[in-house]
Amino acid sequence: MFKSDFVDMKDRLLGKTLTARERDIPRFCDVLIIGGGVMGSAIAYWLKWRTLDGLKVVVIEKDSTVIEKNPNSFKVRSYRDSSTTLSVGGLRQQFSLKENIELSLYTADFFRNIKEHLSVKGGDPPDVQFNPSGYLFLSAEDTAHTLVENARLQRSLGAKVELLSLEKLKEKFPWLNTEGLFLGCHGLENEGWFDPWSLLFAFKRKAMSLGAEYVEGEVTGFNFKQGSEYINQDISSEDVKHLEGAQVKLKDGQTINLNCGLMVLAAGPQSGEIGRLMGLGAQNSIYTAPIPVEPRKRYVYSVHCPDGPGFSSPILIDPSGTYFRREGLGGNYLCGRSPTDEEEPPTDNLEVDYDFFESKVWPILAHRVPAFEKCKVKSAWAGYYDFNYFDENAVIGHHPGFCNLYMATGFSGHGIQQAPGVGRAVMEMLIDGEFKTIDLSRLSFERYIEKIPLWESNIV
Amino acid sequence: MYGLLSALYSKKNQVLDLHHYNPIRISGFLLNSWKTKTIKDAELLDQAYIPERHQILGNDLASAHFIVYRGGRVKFIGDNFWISKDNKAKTCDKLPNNYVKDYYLEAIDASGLRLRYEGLANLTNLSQLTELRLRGCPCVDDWFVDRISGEFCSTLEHLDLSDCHQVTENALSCIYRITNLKTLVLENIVKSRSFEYACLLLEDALPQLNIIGVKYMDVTKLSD
Ligand SMILES: Cc1cc2nc3c(=O)[nH]c(=O)nc-3n(C[C@H](O)[C@H](O)[C@H](O)COP(=O)(O)OP(=O)(O)OC[C@H]3O[C@@H](n4cnc5c(N)ncnc54)[C@H](O)[C@@H]3O)c2cc1C
Repeated sequence: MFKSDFVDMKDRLLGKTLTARERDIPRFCDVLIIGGGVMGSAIAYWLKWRTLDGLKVVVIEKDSTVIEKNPNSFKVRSYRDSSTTLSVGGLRQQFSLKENIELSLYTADFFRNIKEHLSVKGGDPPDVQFNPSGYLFLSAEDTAHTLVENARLQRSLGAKVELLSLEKLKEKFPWLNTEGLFLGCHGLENEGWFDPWSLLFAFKRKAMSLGAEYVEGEVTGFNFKQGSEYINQDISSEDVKHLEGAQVKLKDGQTINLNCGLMVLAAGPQSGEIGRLMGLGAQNSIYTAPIPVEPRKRYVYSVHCPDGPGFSSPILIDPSGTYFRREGLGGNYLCGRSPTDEEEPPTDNLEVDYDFFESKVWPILAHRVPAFEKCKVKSAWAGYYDFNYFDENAVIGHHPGFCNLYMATGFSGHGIQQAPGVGRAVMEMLIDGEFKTIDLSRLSFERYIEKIPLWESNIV
Repeated sequence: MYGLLSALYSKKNQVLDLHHYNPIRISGFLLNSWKTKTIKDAELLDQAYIPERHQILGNDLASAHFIVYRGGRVKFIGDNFWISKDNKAKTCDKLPNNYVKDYYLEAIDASGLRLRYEGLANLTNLSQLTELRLRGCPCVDDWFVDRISGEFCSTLEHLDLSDCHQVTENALSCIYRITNLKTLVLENIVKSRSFEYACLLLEDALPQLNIIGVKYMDVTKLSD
């Protein structure tokens, strides 16, 4: 320990720049989290909350800060293509799976008390800017029974929703065109939208203040250990491997090995890709089963519509999956729609397809809310859904390929609102060996291996 | 030994988080957050929902008891007086101690009380409540307003949130739920321009609503 200090001092005296801040970068840790988005940060926070100095937690994030310097200004940008910072930040309890409903109820509770959870010494208290506008799910006659069943489940778990008949819909939302509709489900509390950036940074700041270390670098490969001591008689040591650590390419181009005890994969849309780096992907064996997550590009359009429903509207979800919500006070709305499988755009860049708005989003929007006939697109962005192509739900738990690999990924467009609960669940899984707060065992990887999908009907 | 240690961990989670009390970690910040948490826990206990109270008294009377015995006032339909408890008195004679049929709450005045979000569990199923005054309640925040807007969405006509300094413009997003709301009083809390502007937009969106206590900015000032 002291020797390195002297080396450091000598280097400094001789004017050598420290190669990649060598001294600051950890070379081993107890838990290595890949991905410092909202999920990775939430997991790091809960692990440190529980164990404080007892566990060394390192988060690897490839894109945490980019400082753009111009002669007269400089801008800090980061997380350029993480789903977290490009998401719409909706929180709702209107799901069809018990786990999803419980997770978002937990999140509402967490947000309400966020100052107790995520305040740090000497910093402003966190504020996620929650707008409690509620959600309104609309359905046509053929799917109305699902809406009724879901509402029953949601109520039984403690969510407050009301079912609205056509007359009620007309009465409550006079700006709505109810043609083709049959029933609506309206959330009465704990639903709305919040600011994803604030949440991400609150988690990150708190995790760091509790001692989690963030390393800026990209995971480019892995080191394996075979024949680990975890093997029992039933499994031959060829099948089960142990991850010794990750190869991390730092910002200055240097690659280091970072060894760890346990590894948690929370790399959002890139999780499937990182699985391939580990050699996962062959279908023939459960030990090499791929992580069924891939990026899917989704557009969000910001439109200007001064005559829109404004403050009298919840976040509205049309039967087609088209959604809109108010954004700010200037008569702007965010809207979008998930493309069908045939329309799925390429995912090599984040360019926005404005024709998609003209041909697929706008007609539906203007039909549902006639005020939108006269709207103008002001701006737009695209982001990657961390899409689970197996059943569009989170995968949380152990991967059979490696004794020490855990995953929390595949949230398919409803991940950011699950971060507090999932982070806690992963912590419980690693420390207690079982789920204590919310039982997420149905979301484990086993369902992929057994090929029994767990569908969520309310995917937007 | 057992008794002393048991004070250090919360029984709810069954997690022995002794290391959180490591002397090295103790700081003003930690002590402060511990203190606020202790105060909060005591308040939550005081405002806990007691099912027996509601079973014996019925929803309206139980809510009235809850409010009156914590220093607030209530008014029943048909009465033209407010019921409150004398500071020195132990009990409030005007409030029946048994279930009374067709006795409905019309108005609740919880001004100045440290009414908490969790305490709202005591104010449910009030089928005729039209007025709620929460003037200067320090614990009322956006989440509190969110819950009110859902709970009383079909009956409430007057809501007073003056001096509730934790309420922000974000809370206005849920006011549309209270379909019959006629007056919303927001004295002393609308301090930013965007909050003022949001009030204007809300009034635009809900024609029956009148917002009181907002001094709208000078239109001439807008231009600069
Ligand atoms: C347009 C859009 C709208 C959405 N709307 C909502 C919504 O309304 N409500 C909701 O709940 N959710 C929504 N989501 C989904 C939500 O954003 C995601 O589910 C959630 O952010 C996932 O968080 P994450 O931390 O797992 O992923 P990410 O935020 O993507 O984080 C993963 C991180 O891993 C890093 N990483 C990747 N590969 C590597 C590597 N090799 N080495 C090091 N680091 C790496 C990335 O830089 C990234 O920062 C939306 C998503 C999109 C795209």
